[in-house]
Order: sequence, then C-alpha cells, then structure tokens
Amino acid sequence: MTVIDLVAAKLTFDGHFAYVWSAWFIGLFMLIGLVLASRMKRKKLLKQIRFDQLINQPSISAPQSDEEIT
Amino acid sequence: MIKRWWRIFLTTAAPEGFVRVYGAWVGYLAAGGAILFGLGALYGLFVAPADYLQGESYRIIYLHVPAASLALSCYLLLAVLGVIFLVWKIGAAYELARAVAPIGLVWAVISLVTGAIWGKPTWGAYWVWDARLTSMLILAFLYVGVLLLQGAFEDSGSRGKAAAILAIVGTINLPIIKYSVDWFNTLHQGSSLSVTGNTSIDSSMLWPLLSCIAGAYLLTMALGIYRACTFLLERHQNKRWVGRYLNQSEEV
Repeated sequence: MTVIDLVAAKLTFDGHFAYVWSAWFIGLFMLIGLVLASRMKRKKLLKQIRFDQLINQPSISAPQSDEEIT
Repeated sequence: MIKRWWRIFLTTAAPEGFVRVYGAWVGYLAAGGAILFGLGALYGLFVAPADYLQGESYRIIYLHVPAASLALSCYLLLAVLGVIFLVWKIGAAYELARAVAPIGLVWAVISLVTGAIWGKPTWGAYWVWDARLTSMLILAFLYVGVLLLQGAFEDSGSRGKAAAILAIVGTINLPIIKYSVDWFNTLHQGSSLSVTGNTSIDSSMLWPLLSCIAGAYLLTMALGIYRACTFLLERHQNKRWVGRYLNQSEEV
C-alpha cells in the first residue's frame, strides 16, 4: 500500500466521506461567513466614523474679503 | 475583594471601558481558540480511531457537539444579559446580546445540519420528530424571534426590553433540550460527556473533542466581544471617546 493509498483511505472515511466532509464544509462555511460579515461591518463603520471626523474637524477658512487679506 | 471586582465590573460596563478592556482580548482569544479548535479537529478527523458501531461517520461529532453546546450556552448568556439589561439598564448588555444572538443562531443551525447529516448513515433518516431534535429546532426559532425583536421597534429601549423578555422566557426550553434524552423515548443517543465523571468516550476520542469544545468557546467569546465593540462604537460614534479610541488604535 503506497502513501497515496493511505491518504486516500483516510480522506474517504471508509465510504462516509460525503457525510463527513459535507457536514464540516457547511459548518465552517457558516462560521467563516459570520466572521467575514462581522469584519466587513466593522471596517465599513470605522471608515465612516473616520470620514465624519475628517469632515467635522475645524479647518482654516478662506478669507472672505480684501480687508482680511491686508 | 468583592468591592474590587464590582469596580472592575462597573468600569467595563461603561461603553468606553468595555471597548478598551475586552476589545484588547479579542486577538488572544481568537488565536487560542483557532489553535485549540484546529488541533482538535485535525486529530479527530485523521488520528482518532473509528467508532466500533458508527464507523467513520462519527467524526462529525467534533463539530456537532461544540455547536450544540454553544447554541445552549449562547442562549443562556442572552437570558442573563436580558436580566442585566432589564434590572440595571446597562446599554453594553443590550449591545452584547445583539452581538451574541446571531452567533448562537449560527451554532444552532450548524448543530441541526450536522446532526441531520450524521443521522442519515446512523439512523437511516436525515430528520425525525424526536424530542431532542424538535426542542433544538425550537431553540433556533427562539433565536430568530430574539433577532427579529432586536430590530423591531424604533426605540432601542423597547427593542431591548422585548428581546430580553423573550430570551428569559425561552430559557424554559434549555432543560428540555438537555434532559430530553432522559425524559423521553428518543432516537438521539444519551449524553456521553459528563462533568461529574461518568464519561463513556475513550480518551483517544475524548481529548480532541474537549479541545474542539474549548476552542469553539474561545472563538465565540472573541467574535462576541468583537461584534459588541462594533455595535458600541456605532451607537456612540458621536462621543469624544470614540475618536480618541480610533486615534489610539491602529485598526483600519
């Protein structure tokens, strides 16, 4: 029996591979999906807060008349 | 001693304290959880021996058992947070409940789906209206109810109250799920894990399972805190401490 046969035997789970792999795939897919959704929400929020801070921070306004320049 | 813990509780119950103190733990909790869960899963899938009765399909339990345990624990946490919110009106408790509810729902759905997939080779059917399966399905519906109530009203106080009341009332389902295999004649096997010591699993299968459970708990804590911090930052985004926090943190 070669190494490839041994690995193949392990991965096929004695004919139950469809059940074992599908259960793990679906489970991990849902978990990773939740983590990514949470991460995206956070990134979007931080970007928006930083943008709002930038807009609201006090800035040097342009002079309104010739008098102010002199 | 009690005074010290009470002071720590009060500090972290305030939004800024919660985000600063618990937010710093997220990376460590996630790393520890990923290592424990990954090692347990790899050992359970490829090294642990096959079950003498169920064969290789039993390897689904390394995801199914942590998922079921966390679905119950997250719901219990929702109820505790509901009590804290109703009694002390602590906003962080409501935001944490908002963060935890979807995580608990995902664990409940994973538990139901993996259980159904495991049921086919073991029982010959994906689904039976067994007491354990049905009560677990009700738990998933309760999670959906809590989530819907959390987004139902304009006023955040009413939302929090309604969701907290449903979470507290729904705890009646938790002992039914836990003891359904003892109280009813069910197809689902009895509990193999016990805190009091009557565990019927061989140690070569038990340790990877415990590792997966511990890892899943740590990952859930990390994700729960992460999401709660996001909700708190969103709610208090016009406050000065949010600006200070973002300036200090390097998070993008």
